[in-house]
Amino acid sequence: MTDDREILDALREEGREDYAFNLLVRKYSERLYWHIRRAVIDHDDTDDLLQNTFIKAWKYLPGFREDSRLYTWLYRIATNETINYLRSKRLRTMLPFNGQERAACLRLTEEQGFTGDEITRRLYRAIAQLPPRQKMIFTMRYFDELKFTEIAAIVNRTVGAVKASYHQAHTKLRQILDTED
Amino acid sequence: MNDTANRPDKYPFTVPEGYFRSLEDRLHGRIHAPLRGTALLVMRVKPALMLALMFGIIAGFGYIVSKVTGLLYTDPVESGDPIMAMIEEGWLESSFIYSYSDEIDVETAFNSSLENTVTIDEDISEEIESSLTEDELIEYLELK
Repeated sequence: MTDDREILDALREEGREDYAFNLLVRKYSERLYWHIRRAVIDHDDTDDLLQNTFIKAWKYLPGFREDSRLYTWLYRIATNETINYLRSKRLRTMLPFNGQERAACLRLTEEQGFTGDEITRRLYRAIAQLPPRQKMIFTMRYFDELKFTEIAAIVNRTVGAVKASYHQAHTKLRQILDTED
Repeated sequence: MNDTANRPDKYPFTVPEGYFRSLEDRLHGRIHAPLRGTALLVMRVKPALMLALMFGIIAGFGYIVSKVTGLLYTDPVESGDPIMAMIEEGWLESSFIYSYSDEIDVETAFNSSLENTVTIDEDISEEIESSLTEDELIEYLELK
Protein backbone atom coordinates (compact mmCIF):
# COMPACT_ATOMS: atom_id res chain seq x y z
CA MET A 1 0.00 0.00 0.00
CA THR A 2 1.38 3.40 -0.97
CA ASP A 3 2.50 5.71 1.79
CA ASP A 4 0.61 9.01 2.24
CA ARG A 5 3.92 10.88 2.21
CA GLU A 6 4.71 9.51 -1.23
CA ILE A 7 1.28 10.57 -2.52
CA LEU A 8 1.62 14.10 -1.12
CA ASP A 9 5.16 14.52 -2.46
CA ALA A 10 4.10 13.34 -5.91
CA LEU A 11 1.09 15.68 -5.87
CA ARG A 12 3.39 18.67 -5.36
CA GLU A 13 5.78 17.59 -8.08
CA GLU A 14 5.03 19.13 -11.44
CA GLY A 15 3.88 16.62 -14.03
CA ARG A 16 3.18 13.85 -11.51
CA GLU A 17 -0.15 15.16 -10.18
CA ASP A 18 -2.27 12.71 -12.16
CA TYR A 19 -0.15 9.77 -11.08
CA ALA A 20 -0.40 10.86 -7.42
CA PHE A 21 -4.13 11.33 -7.72
CA ASN A 22 -4.50 7.81 -9.10
CA LEU A 23 -2.58 6.49 -6.09
CA LEU A 24 -4.86 8.43 -3.78
CA VAL A 25 -8.03 7.11 -5.43
CA ARG A 26 -6.68 3.54 -5.48
CA LYS A 27 -5.77 3.67 -1.79
CA TYR A 28 -8.89 5.29 -0.37
CA SER A 29 -11.78 4.70 -2.78
CA GLU A 30 -13.02 1.45 -1.21
CA ARG A 31 -12.86 2.65 2.40
CA LEU A 32 -14.62 5.90 1.54
CA TYR A 33 -17.16 4.09 -0.65
CA TRP A 34 -18.31 1.88 2.22
CA HIS A 35 -18.22 4.79 4.64
CA ILE A 36 -20.69 6.64 2.42
CA ARG A 37 -22.77 3.68 1.28
CA ARG A 38 -23.64 2.54 4.81
CA ALA A 39 -25.28 5.91 5.34
CA VAL A 40 -27.01 6.51 2.00
CA ILE A 41 -27.64 2.82 0.98
CA ASP A 42 -28.14 3.53 -2.74
CA HIS A 43 -25.14 2.81 -5.01
CA ASP A 44 -25.74 5.68 -7.49
CA ASP A 45 -25.99 8.23 -4.68
CA THR A 46 -22.84 6.77 -3.13
CA ASP A 47 -21.04 7.02 -6.48
CA ASP A 48 -21.99 10.71 -6.83
CA LEU A 49 -20.85 11.52 -3.30
CA LEU A 50 -17.61 9.58 -3.66
CA GLN A 51 -16.76 11.37 -6.91
CA ASN A 52 -17.57 14.74 -5.31
CA THR A 53 -15.29 13.82 -2.41
CA PHE A 54 -12.34 13.09 -4.70
CA ILE A 55 -13.00 16.14 -6.90
CA LYS A 56 -12.93 18.34 -3.79
CA ALA A 57 -9.78 16.59 -2.60
CA TRP A 58 -8.14 17.28 -5.98
CA LYS A 59 -9.20 20.93 -5.81
CA TYR A 60 -8.04 21.58 -2.25
CA LEU A 61 -5.03 19.25 -1.97
CA PRO A 62 -2.52 21.95 -3.02
CA GLY A 63 -3.58 23.87 0.10
CA PHE A 64 -3.56 20.82 2.40
CA ARG A 65 -1.46 21.94 5.38
CA GLU A 66 -0.93 18.46 6.86
CA ASP A 67 -2.33 19.53 10.23
CA SER A 68 -4.21 16.24 10.12
CA ARG A 69 -3.50 12.93 8.45
CA LEU A 70 -4.53 12.50 4.84
CA TYR A 71 -7.14 9.82 5.48
CA THR A 72 -8.67 11.91 8.32
CA TRP A 73 -8.94 14.81 5.90
CA LEU A 74 -10.55 12.64 3.19
CA TYR A 75 -12.95 11.10 5.70
CA ARG A 76 -13.92 14.62 6.76
CA ILE A 77 -14.75 15.64 3.20
CA ALA A 78 -16.73 12.43 2.62
CA THR A 79 -18.57 12.78 5.93
CA ASN A 80 -19.53 16.39 5.26
CA GLU A 81 -20.69 15.55 1.74
CA THR A 82 -22.81 12.69 3.08
CA ILE A 83 -24.33 14.67 5.96
CA ASN A 84 -25.23 17.55 3.60
CA TYR A 85 -26.75 15.09 1.13
CA LEU A 86 -28.83 13.33 3.82
CA ARG A 87 -30.09 16.67 5.15
CA SER A 88 -31.02 17.98 1.71
CA LYS A 89 -32.69 14.68 0.82
CA ARG A 90 -34.80 14.86 3.95
CA LEU A 91 -35.89 18.37 3.02
CA ARG A 92 -36.61 17.37 -0.58
CA THR A 93 -38.74 14.39 0.31
CA MET A 94 -40.36 16.26 3.22
CA LEU A 95 -39.88 13.28 5.48
CA PRO A 96 -40.27 14.06 9.19
CA PHE A 97 -37.25 14.15 11.51
CA ASN A 98 -38.71 11.17 13.31
CA GLY A 99 -37.11 8.38 11.36
CA GLN A 100 -39.85 5.72 11.53
CA GLU A 101 -41.42 6.67 8.22
CA ARG A 102 -37.96 7.03 6.74
CA ALA A 103 -37.14 3.48 7.83
CA ALA A 104 -40.40 2.27 6.30
CA CYS A 105 -39.28 3.79 2.99
CA LEU A 106 -35.98 1.97 3.34
CA ARG A 107 -36.92 -1.39 1.92
CA LEU A 108 -33.37 -2.75 1.73
CA THR A 109 -34.25 -5.05 -1.11
CA GLU A 110 -32.04 -6.98 -3.49
CA GLU A 111 -32.77 -4.32 -6.13
CA GLN A 112 -30.89 -1.93 -3.89
CA GLY A 113 -28.02 -4.38 -3.81
CA PHE A 114 -28.65 -5.58 -0.26
CA THR A 115 -27.21 -9.01 0.37
CA GLY A 116 -27.17 -9.16 4.18
CA ASP A 117 -29.10 -11.47 6.45
CA GLU A 118 -32.16 -10.56 8.53
CA ILE A 119 -30.13 -9.33 11.53
CA THR A 120 -28.09 -7.04 9.31
CA ARG A 121 -31.26 -5.78 7.58
CA ARG A 122 -32.81 -4.90 10.94
CA LEU A 123 -29.66 -3.12 12.08
CA TYR A 124 -29.44 -1.02 8.89
CA ARG A 125 -33.12 -0.11 9.13
CA ALA A 126 -32.52 1.00 12.71
CA ILE A 127 -29.41 3.00 11.73
CA ALA A 128 -31.48 4.76 9.06
CA GLN A 129 -33.56 6.28 11.86
CA LEU A 130 -30.61 8.09 13.41
CA PRO A 131 -29.92 11.76 12.65
CA PRO A 132 -27.22 12.19 9.95
CA ARG A 133 -24.26 13.16 12.14
CA GLN A 134 -25.05 10.52 14.79
CA LYS A 135 -25.37 7.95 12.02
CA MET A 136 -21.92 8.81 10.62
CA ILE A 137 -20.29 8.73 14.07
CA PHE A 138 -21.88 5.37 14.86
CA THR A 139 -20.86 3.71 11.58
CA MET A 140 -17.29 5.05 11.80
CA ARG A 141 -16.92 3.56 15.26
CA TYR A 142 -18.92 0.37 14.82
CA PHE A 143 -17.99 -0.71 11.29
CA ASP A 144 -14.73 1.12 10.49
CA GLU A 145 -13.52 0.72 14.09
CA LEU A 146 -11.95 4.17 14.14
CA LYS A 147 -10.73 5.58 17.45
CA PHE A 148 -12.81 8.26 19.15
CA THR A 149 -9.92 10.72 18.72
CA GLU A 150 -9.88 10.04 14.97
CA ILE A 151 -13.66 10.44 14.71
CA ALA A 152 -13.46 13.68 16.71
CA ALA A 153 -10.90 15.03 14.23
CA ILE A 154 -13.10 13.99 11.29
CA VAL A 155 -16.35 15.54 12.53
CA ASN A 156 -14.55 18.50 14.14
CA ARG A 157 -16.00 17.86 17.62
CA THR A 158 -14.44 17.15 21.00
CA VAL A 159 -13.75 13.55 21.96
CA GLY A 160 -16.30 13.89 24.78
CA ALA A 161 -18.99 15.08 22.39
CA VAL A 162 -18.27 12.20 20.00
CA LYS A 163 -18.43 9.64 22.82
CA ALA A 164 -21.73 11.12 23.99
CA SER A 165 -23.10 11.02 20.45
CA TYR A 166 -22.02 7.40 19.99
CA HIS A 167 -23.60 6.45 23.31
CA GLN A 168 -26.87 8.15 22.36
CA ALA A 169 -26.89 6.36 19.00
CA HIS A 170 -26.19 3.03 20.70
CA THR A 171 -29.03 3.56 23.18
CA LYS A 172 -31.45 4.59 20.43
CA LEU A 173 -30.61 1.57 18.31
CA ARG A 174 -31.11 -0.75 21.26
CA GLN A 175 -34.53 0.83 21.93
CA ILE A 176 -35.55 0.52 18.27
CA LEU A 177 -34.43 -3.11 18.04
CA ASP A 178 -36.09 -3.98 21.37
CA THR A 179 -39.36 -2.41 20.21
CA GLU A 180 -39.33 -4.53 17.06
CA ASP A 181 -38.91 -7.77 19.03
CA MET B 1 -23.97 -5.33 19.36
CA ASN B 2 -20.55 -5.97 20.86
CA ASP B 3 -20.63 -9.67 20.14
CA THR B 4 -18.18 -10.03 17.27
CA ALA B 5 -19.28 -13.59 16.46
CA ASN B 6 -22.80 -12.41 15.62
CA ARG B 7 -21.63 -9.10 14.23
CA PRO B 8 -23.63 -8.03 11.17
CA ASP B 9 -21.89 -8.08 7.81
CA LYS B 10 -19.69 -4.99 7.26
CA TYR B 11 -20.34 -4.94 3.52
CA PRO B 12 -23.89 -6.20 2.95
CA PHE B 13 -24.32 -4.49 -0.44
CA THR B 14 -23.31 -5.48 -3.93
CA VAL B 15 -21.10 -3.19 -5.99
CA PRO B 16 -21.28 -3.22 -9.82
CA GLU B 17 -18.54 -5.25 -11.48
CA GLY B 18 -15.38 -3.22 -12.18
CA TYR B 19 -16.71 -0.17 -10.35
CA PHE B 20 -13.48 0.68 -8.48
CA ARG B 21 -11.29 0.04 -11.52
CA SER B 22 -13.30 2.46 -13.65
CA LEU B 23 -13.51 5.11 -10.93
CA GLU B 24 -10.07 6.57 -11.71
CA ASP B 25 -10.94 7.10 -15.38
CA ARG B 26 -14.30 8.66 -14.58
CA LEU B 27 -12.69 11.01 -12.08
CA HIS B 28 -10.04 12.04 -14.60
CA GLY B 29 -12.80 12.59 -17.11
CA ARG B 30 -14.49 15.01 -14.74
CA ILE B 31 -11.31 16.77 -13.60
CA HIS B 32 -9.86 17.33 -17.06
CA ALA B 33 -13.13 17.82 -18.93
CA PRO B 34 -12.79 20.93 -21.14
CA LEU B 35 -15.27 23.60 -20.26
CA ARG B 36 -18.08 23.92 -22.77
CA GLY B 37 -18.74 27.20 -24.58
CA THR B 38 -21.45 28.51 -22.28
CA ALA B 39 -19.64 27.50 -19.10
CA LEU B 40 -16.44 29.14 -20.34
CA LEU B 41 -18.28 32.33 -21.27
CA VAL B 42 -20.03 32.46 -17.89
CA MET B 43 -16.69 31.91 -16.10
CA ARG B 44 -15.07 34.78 -18.01
CA VAL B 45 -17.95 37.23 -17.78
CA LYS B 46 -18.91 36.44 -14.20
CA PRO B 47 -16.44 38.84 -12.45
CA ALA B 48 -17.53 41.76 -14.67
CA LEU B 49 -21.19 40.92 -14.11
CA MET B 50 -20.68 40.77 -10.36
CA LEU B 51 -18.92 44.15 -10.41
CA ALA B 52 -21.75 45.69 -12.45
CA LEU B 53 -24.30 44.16 -10.10
CA MET B 54 -22.53 45.59 -7.04
CA PHE B 55 -22.37 49.02 -8.68
CA GLY B 56 -26.08 48.79 -9.51
CA ILE B 57 -26.93 47.84 -5.93
CA ILE B 58 -24.90 50.74 -4.49
CA ALA B 59 -26.35 53.24 -7.01
CA GLY B 60 -29.87 51.97 -6.34
CA PHE B 61 -29.35 52.26 -2.60
CA GLY B 62 -28.09 55.84 -3.03
CA TYR B 63 -31.12 56.71 -5.18
CA ILE B 64 -33.53 55.32 -2.58
CA VAL B 65 -31.78 57.23 0.23
CA SER B 66 -31.94 60.50 -1.76
CA LYS B 67 -35.64 59.93 -2.43
CA VAL B 68 -36.42 59.20 1.21
CA THR B 69 -34.48 62.21 2.55
CA GLY B 70 -36.12 64.37 -0.15
CA LEU B 71 -39.52 63.37 1.15
CA LEU B 72 -38.53 64.24 4.71
CA TYR B 73 -37.28 67.77 3.75
CA THR B 74 -39.86 70.54 3.28
CA ASP B 75 -38.75 73.73 1.54
CA PRO B 76 -39.51 76.58 4.03
CA VAL B 77 -40.55 78.87 1.19
CA GLU B 78 -43.13 76.37 0.07
CA SER B 79 -44.14 75.32 3.58
CA GLY B 80 -46.75 78.10 3.96
CA ASP B 81 -45.17 79.40 7.18
CA PRO B 82 -44.50 83.14 6.55
CA ILE B 83 -41.93 83.49 9.37
CA MET B 84 -39.90 80.53 8.07
CA ALA B 85 -40.14 81.92 4.56
CA MET B 86 -38.85 85.32 5.69
CA ILE B 87 -35.94 83.72 7.56
CA GLU B 88 -35.08 81.66 4.48
CA GLU B 89 -35.19 84.75 2.25
CA GLY B 90 -32.91 86.68 4.61
CA TRP B 91 -35.48 89.19 5.80
CA LEU B 92 -35.35 87.91 9.35
CA GLU B 93 -32.36 86.84 11.40
CA SER B 94 -32.85 83.48 12.90
CA SER B 95 -30.11 83.16 15.48
CA PHE B 96 -30.11 84.40 19.08
CA ILE B 97 -27.14 86.75 18.60
CA TYR B 98 -28.60 88.29 15.44
CA SER B 99 -31.95 88.83 17.09
CA TYR B 100 -30.40 90.81 19.97
CA SER B 101 -27.57 92.62 18.17
CA ASP B 102 -29.76 95.52 17.05
CA GLU B 103 -31.02 96.15 20.58
CA ILE B 104 -27.56 96.60 22.16
CA ASP B 105 -26.58 100.27 22.64
CA VAL B 106 -22.80 100.62 22.33
CA GLU B 107 -22.57 103.60 24.72
CA THR B 108 -24.58 101.84 27.42
CA ALA B 109 -22.44 98.77 27.02
CA PHE B 110 -19.27 100.88 27.36
CA ASN B 111 -20.47 102.63 30.53
CA SER B 112 -21.66 99.36 31.97
CA SER B 113 -18.25 97.92 31.32
CA LEU B 114 -16.52 100.78 33.10
CA GLU B 115 -18.81 100.56 36.11
CA ASN B 116 -18.20 96.90 36.46
CA THR B 117 -14.44 96.94 36.08
CA VAL B 118 -13.18 100.25 37.53
CA THR B 119 -13.60 101.48 41.10
CA ILE B 120 -14.05 105.24 41.19
CA ASP B 121 -13.66 107.01 44.49
CA GLU B 122 -16.98 108.42 45.68
CA ASP B 123 -15.67 111.90 46.45
CA ILE B 124 -14.43 112.49 42.96
CA SER B 125 -17.04 110.56 41.08
CA GLU B 126 -19.44 113.49 41.06
CA GLU B 127 -16.70 115.82 39.87
CA ILE B 128 -15.65 113.41 37.18
CA GLU B 129 -19.16 113.01 35.93
CA SER B 130 -19.76 116.77 35.80
CA SER B 131 -16.44 118.05 34.57
CA LEU B 132 -14.62 115.38 32.60
CA THR B 133 -15.21 114.59 29.02
CA GLU B 134 -15.01 111.10 27.78
CA ASP B 135 -11.40 111.55 26.51
CA GLU B 136 -10.27 113.02 29.82
CA LEU B 137 -11.84 110.13 31.64
CA ILE B 138 -9.93 107.61 29.55
CA GLU B 139 -6.69 109.57 30.09
CA TYR B 140 -7.34 109.56 33.82
CA LEU B 141 -7.94 105.84 33.88
CA GLU B 142 -4.77 105.11 31.90
CA LEU B 143 -2.66 107.23 34.27
CA LYS B 144 -4.17 105.47 37.23
